[in-house]
Amino acid sequence: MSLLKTLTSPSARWSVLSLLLIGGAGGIIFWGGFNTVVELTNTEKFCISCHEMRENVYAELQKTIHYTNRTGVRAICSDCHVPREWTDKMIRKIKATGEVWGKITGTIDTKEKFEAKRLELAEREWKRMKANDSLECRNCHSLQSMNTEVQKQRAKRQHELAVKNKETCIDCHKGIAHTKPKGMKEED
Amino acid sequence: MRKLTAIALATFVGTAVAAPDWSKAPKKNITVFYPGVSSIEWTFVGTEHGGARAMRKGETCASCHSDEAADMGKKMATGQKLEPDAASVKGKAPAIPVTVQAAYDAKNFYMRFTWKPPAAGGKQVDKKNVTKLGVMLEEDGKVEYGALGGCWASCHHDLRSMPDVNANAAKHPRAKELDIRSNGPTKYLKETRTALEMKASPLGGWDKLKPEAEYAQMLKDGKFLEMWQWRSAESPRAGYVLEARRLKEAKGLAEGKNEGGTWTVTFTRPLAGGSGVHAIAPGKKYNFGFAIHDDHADWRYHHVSFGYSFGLDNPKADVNATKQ
Repeated sequence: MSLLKTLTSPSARWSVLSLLLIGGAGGIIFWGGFNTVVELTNTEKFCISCHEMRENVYAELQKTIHYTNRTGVRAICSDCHVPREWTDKMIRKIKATGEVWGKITGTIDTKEKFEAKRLELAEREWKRMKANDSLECRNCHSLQSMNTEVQKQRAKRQHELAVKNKETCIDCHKGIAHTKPKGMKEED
Repeated sequence: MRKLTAIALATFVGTAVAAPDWSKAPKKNITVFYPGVSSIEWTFVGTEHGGARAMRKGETCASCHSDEAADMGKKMATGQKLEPDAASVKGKAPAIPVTVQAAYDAKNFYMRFTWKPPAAGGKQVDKKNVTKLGVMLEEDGKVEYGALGGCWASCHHDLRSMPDVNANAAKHPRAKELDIRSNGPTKYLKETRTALEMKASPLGGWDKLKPEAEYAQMLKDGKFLEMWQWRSAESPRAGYVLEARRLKEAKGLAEGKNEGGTWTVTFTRPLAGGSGVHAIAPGKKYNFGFAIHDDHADWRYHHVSFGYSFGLDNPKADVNATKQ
């Protein structure tokens, strides 16, 4: 009770300017610290600090063009799985707390458990990407900026069809960075 | 029904006529490639074939792959993809470029194929014939996958030498009539089966037959793939694929010769149709595919084209048969 009273009573000791300066500095430190922690969770090092990611999906990514290619551009986990916009990013981070619970309870802590859950996890991610019109893909790629004339016949035709049918990247590019799960539905 | 078919096939016999002037017929270059075990069922499995979505929306195989047929053949012929028995294709050519021409006159339709046989390789099965060339065709829209994939409309995962063939298929009570050989069924169309398994092994539906009356009606309605086969050391065969492949000897249907290391095979058949034979008429589009059994190959060990179209005096068709 006395703490609440102290916190809600006017200061008799500190000037308004001092309070503003201390408050401002504190706010900057808190905000900076918060963002630093959030960005830390977006690093590849953080993602693969768990063996569940390192030994499964990260190992798969390393064999794909998003990891190594002629131009030297590399997509890390967060590039594809975390939105860049602050609000969307925060929503994703809040939802990710469920993954922390999964880590604690060991829902995918063995190869077998991971494979058993792969379809469910993949479908959840595909649904998210479909809902945001493949936002993370479009951070780097867009159908409008593609020069289909320099693409292979197969890619050219498929991208022309995607524009015509108003499809989004993830409609076709499932499994582009990770192994496709067994038991995928016909519509996927 | 069978009698009518025999009469229609007999019309091929003795059609010795003046050959067209092939220098006047437009040329179409088509690459046939080694397809491994890529059955029609496989093409619709999205986890295996990235184009399955496009196919379900009616996109043809050729519209995405015609330019890369040789590269695709290389993957299968070297055992990297869709070839469970890599030893059987050792040394096999990945692809063969073929020149295709067609022509017609008042009475007949002609189709000519020219190619240089590649280096020998792969499993030799047919001891008699060093090479064979088969053609299958339909009138546009009659066969469900005719326009989509040409020969793939008749290719299934449970045919002989394919991965999901039933070991007891030859014991089927109608095996002889359905052209089921000791190592399994030959060909059939999807729509002749009550169901076709497209997801889990065994893929296909070789034994899921419909009542015979339905096949008689389909034949009457032109819902079949007409088939021709030229053999280097035997008489040609002609017939159709419906619930089974039905081929009979058809002397005069095809002539083939190897001059200076180049094979030239010419098919000649009347424009008129009949039971199991499509009438070829102006203003219509026909879909076709063809395959070469090179170096004594048989069964699935052939080189296949994607599905293409032809028409009489139709510049929009892939192969334009001009009047002579």
